[in-house]
Amino acid sequence: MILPEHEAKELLEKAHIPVVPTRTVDSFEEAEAEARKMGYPVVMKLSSGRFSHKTDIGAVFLNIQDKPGLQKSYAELTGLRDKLDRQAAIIVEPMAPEGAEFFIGIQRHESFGLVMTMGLGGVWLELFKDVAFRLLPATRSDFREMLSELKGWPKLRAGFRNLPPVDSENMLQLMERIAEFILKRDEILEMDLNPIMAYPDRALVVDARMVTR
Amino acid sequence: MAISATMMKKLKKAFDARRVAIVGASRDQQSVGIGPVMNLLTSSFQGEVLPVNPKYEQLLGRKCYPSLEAIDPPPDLAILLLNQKLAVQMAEKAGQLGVSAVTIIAGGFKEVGSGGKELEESLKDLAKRYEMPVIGPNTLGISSFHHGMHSIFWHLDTFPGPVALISQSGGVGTALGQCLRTMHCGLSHFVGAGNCSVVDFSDYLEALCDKPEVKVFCVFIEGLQDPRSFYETAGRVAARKPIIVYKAGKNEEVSRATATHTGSLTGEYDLYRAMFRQAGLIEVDSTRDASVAAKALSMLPLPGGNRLCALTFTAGPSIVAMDKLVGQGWELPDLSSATMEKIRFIIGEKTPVEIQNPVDLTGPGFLPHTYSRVMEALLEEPYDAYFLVWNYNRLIRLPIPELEELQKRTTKPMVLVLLANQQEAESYLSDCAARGICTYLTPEDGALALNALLTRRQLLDRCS
Repeated sequence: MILPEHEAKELLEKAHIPVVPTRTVDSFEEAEAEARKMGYPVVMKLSSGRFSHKTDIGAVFLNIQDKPGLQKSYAELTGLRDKLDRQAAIIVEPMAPEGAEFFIGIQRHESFGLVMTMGLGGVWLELFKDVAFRLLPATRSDFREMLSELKGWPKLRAGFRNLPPVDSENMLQLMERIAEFILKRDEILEMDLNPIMAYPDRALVVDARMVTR
Repeated sequence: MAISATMMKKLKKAFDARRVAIVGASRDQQSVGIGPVMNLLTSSFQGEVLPVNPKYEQLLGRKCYPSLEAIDPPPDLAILLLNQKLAVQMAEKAGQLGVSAVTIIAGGFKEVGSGGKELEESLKDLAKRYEMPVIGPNTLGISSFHHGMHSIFWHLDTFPGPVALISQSGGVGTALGQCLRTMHCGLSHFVGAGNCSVVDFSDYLEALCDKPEVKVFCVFIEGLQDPRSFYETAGRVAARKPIIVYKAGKNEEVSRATATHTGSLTGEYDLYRAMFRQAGLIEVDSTRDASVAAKALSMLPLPGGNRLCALTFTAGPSIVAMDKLVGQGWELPDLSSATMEKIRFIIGEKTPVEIQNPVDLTGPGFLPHTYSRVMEALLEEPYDAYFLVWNYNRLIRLPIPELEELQKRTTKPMVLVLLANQQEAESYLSDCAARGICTYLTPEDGALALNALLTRRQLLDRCS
């Protein structure tokens, strides 16, 4: 079973894993109030257990700058919801500022057991496959080695082009917390955290997909 | 998979076997049935060689028994040179008789499909019932060289030494053994893991880990049934003794269809490689590299750090080696001016060469006395390891006694590259090995040896 994004994020938040603030809204008024509280620009999307690739089906609106934009997005999403999944929730989040994007995945491999994959995320993940693997449980030194195995790490750490530099301690702490989380949650079979936005002062999970038993 | 404690005890006994039965032994030089008996007889085995074959009354000078049950008390190890069906029946009998362990040489089990799979299951079942470890099936067998228990059925020329070889393939195993022999490095044990139906890699590692004659493990894997359990055992063993691993089958297609990206990103070899690294194993890419690394780790102390010094009298081989060394974590700090002066004094003012690290002496360096005096000076500098190259010339004496003496005075590893051909320099290579001078024939091999030492140092530092 695929958990809806907002439920997955809730589980992560409870485990003290930094997640982008996510609010489910039941009406446009609520959406507007949340957007004002968070501050524009915001993101609005459908959160559902039925479909995975939100962007492909137009269920994500990024970089909403103002109320008219919000109105338009809300109308589109409610229409889509009626067509695809009436149980889907509409969620609002602040738009994450530009940062280095990472991917962390968890799987329960049939012969290797619990495995963590970590690497460069976002849209380039499948193209470059600049990733490292370790079995869980793992030590901090293992996580540190994973970072050093990434081809892109030295440049991202220093701040690549217009992206802010990445603090390794935040990344390590994030990896440790995610490992701790999955070791306690036997019911989660697989997990994709992508993208994780990394900044000098924090690393934040922006999207999460979980498959449960 | 981990066998029970009783089975582990019996497995250890098999490695120390004093009484070895060979069921289906043959006199026929063209038959594999002669192999184990020949190996045992030619290896100064002090124990009892007990061939079993109702066809003969004696075999190669030993009493030949008509059946396994005729041997009383039962042997420590029974090597079954029978077809797979007969072998399983005989294994059952061995279990009943209380034989400690059996080796099943024959193939024709799970690796041939469904019929073989059933046979393998019945084998596993009887092994469990009698708590009797079964080595293989589909294997060359096991040998323990320090007490002459060389009982694999194929030919392998080696001598008692520090490397325990555990190989899933007999062919690769013997290739590794022969390659090590060529490098004048002997074996403590040979293990043909075969199908690993009952006893697997983790069990062999555990059975041999405590033996003082085992200095290094060299492991060849095609595929593991239980990678996670191997990871745990290998991790524990690697903390104590170096494990070099060579893995075949790197091109597995990723065929898992999953709801997440995670699964589709992961190739099986990716996980093996990560697992080896995480467990603290040293992974290599070839038979030769495995042998080079095993030899170095069995002979040399580990460096205290990554400061490398090189000494040659022609610069090329050093440059070639640096390509392989510098990217792997070694640094080449400068010489102190005091040492530069010492070297200048030794080679003379007129020698047109700049003295720096890597040290190249050109002309005067050809002379063993000069070369070794410079080496003596370099040993006093705070380097952690040394890379030496000597170009062989049949008219010029090698500085072997001097290098042996210098090596005795230091705890820092020295790797010597002797640019010669194996045949011509055989007596020198043999001499170096006897004197504990770690020697290779190419700069690349020398570099790999040093890298293996540094990797091991880094792995140990990681644990602490």
